Amino acid sequence: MNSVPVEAFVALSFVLFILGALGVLLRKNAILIFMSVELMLNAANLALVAFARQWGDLNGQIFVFFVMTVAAAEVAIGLALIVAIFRNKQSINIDDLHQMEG
Amino acid sequence: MGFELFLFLALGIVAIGSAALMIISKNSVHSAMFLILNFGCVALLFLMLDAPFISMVQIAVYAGAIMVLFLFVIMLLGAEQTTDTSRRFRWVTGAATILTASLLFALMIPVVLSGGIQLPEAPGKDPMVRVVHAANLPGPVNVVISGDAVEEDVVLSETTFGTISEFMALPAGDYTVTLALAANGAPLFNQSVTLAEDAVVTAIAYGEFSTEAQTLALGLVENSFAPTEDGAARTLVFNAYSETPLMLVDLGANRDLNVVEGVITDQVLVSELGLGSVSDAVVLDKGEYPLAFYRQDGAEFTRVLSVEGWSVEAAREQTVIIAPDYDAPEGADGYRPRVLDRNQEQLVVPTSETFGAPGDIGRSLFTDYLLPVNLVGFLLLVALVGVIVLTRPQGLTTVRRSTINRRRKVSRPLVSVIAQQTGSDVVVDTPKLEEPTSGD
Repeated sequence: MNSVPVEAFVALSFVLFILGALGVLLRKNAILIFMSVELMLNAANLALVAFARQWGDLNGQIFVFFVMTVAAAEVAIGLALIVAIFRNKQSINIDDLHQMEG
Repeated sequence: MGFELFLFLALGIVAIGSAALMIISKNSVHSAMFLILNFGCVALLFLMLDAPFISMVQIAVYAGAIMVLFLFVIMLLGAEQTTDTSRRFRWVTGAATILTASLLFALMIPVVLSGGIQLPEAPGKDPMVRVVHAANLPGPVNVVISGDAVEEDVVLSETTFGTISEFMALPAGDYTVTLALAANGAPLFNQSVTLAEDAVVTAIAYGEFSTEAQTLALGLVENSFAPTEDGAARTLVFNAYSETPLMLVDLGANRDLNVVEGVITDQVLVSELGLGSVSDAVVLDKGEYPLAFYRQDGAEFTRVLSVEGWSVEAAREQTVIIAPDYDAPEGADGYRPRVLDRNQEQLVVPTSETFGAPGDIGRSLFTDYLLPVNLVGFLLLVALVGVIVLTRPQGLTTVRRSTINRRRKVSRPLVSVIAQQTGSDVVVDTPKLEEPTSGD
């Protein structure tokens, strides 16, 4: 069961994390930015599970479980924020939300 | 290229491709679909990493619940098409992207230069040991396992013939096993044993200790919990009975040993098993076997003990010890043989791997991680309340019903009521009289 080295999984999670970070930076749609954040969380989970197998330690998988739970709460709150903003601004384009601009 | 590597490469390419397509899709619904594909690939990678429970949670919670929530909000807001209205800050995003990507790749450089992540070997598990009493001793004995690795000696007190202890996990190291009489503590025998990591050892005390014979010895059997192919059972046989080599034969249908011209035609499972030695693992499928122990003396075979209907369960490892029955009175030709603890309850150890299984994770969550689980549950509750508050039409401001009622009773001019309802000031144009032209 160890024919794929753990480095390969970590490299894959690295690439996925960079793609998620690029999504956060490039897109202007708030929902898409949010999806990219989920992609980054998932990449981190992949690295955690890979290291959990390498060490034969179940704690890594349990931590992934907690990350997933927190991500679910975060998605609920974030989407509620997006709905509330859309109701005020009629837009979820982040360039339209510049009240905090200096 | 192994099948597993091929699977990893295929899943990795699909995962990276779907992530990239998610970012560049113009339509938000397409992006969500690509993200679901990506989550599915990652779930399969979790399966490859011995995490079946996390994999199923990934599919149910991430690809199921969370993505349905995303799609629902996209549809609710009608925000399928991205609207990149302002392009004023485009160069800032471009610069930030390049900076971040180069920073992350710079983090990867030392990893690549050092030739991969330098991980130490996965640490071995603590060795397991159990003790079997198969010796003829003057009375009950205390078995003491002492060593530098343990602070307190492990003592199995009042052990009698036929006792098989549970497996005990001890730190790896050198130990001394001492047998001492329970009555007065007089040591009868001791032997040093080295326990390596991952080892599973059955220590069998056999022989006699009396005034005329002192043949006490400690036999070590290396057990293994590694799974067998096709769920077959492994059987190890230990001879604590006879100095003449023993053999274990599967008698077959006729329940007797078939010898044709001095050659046994029945299936011989174990042969030439001397005193105090252990056989190689015999792999048997699940079922019942008519087995018999034979004493092997040149070309002569004498039956020692026959076991009708020797039942073998699937995926077990069984250690069978044949020893003289010191509980029964000694006969004319010595003690009768006996197989120790054939009901297999303590000897049989299931050989299944449970790493990452729901049972293990659940047990860990509700014992070691009970407080975090409760905190996360509380967090979810707070999130629930937060969502309700955030999506209320009036937002965070609390509106007291009594003030609304009081306001309604106040009579106001119609113009201000209309102004409040429509949200804009009612402009009342007061008619102006035409200025009279100055007529002369």
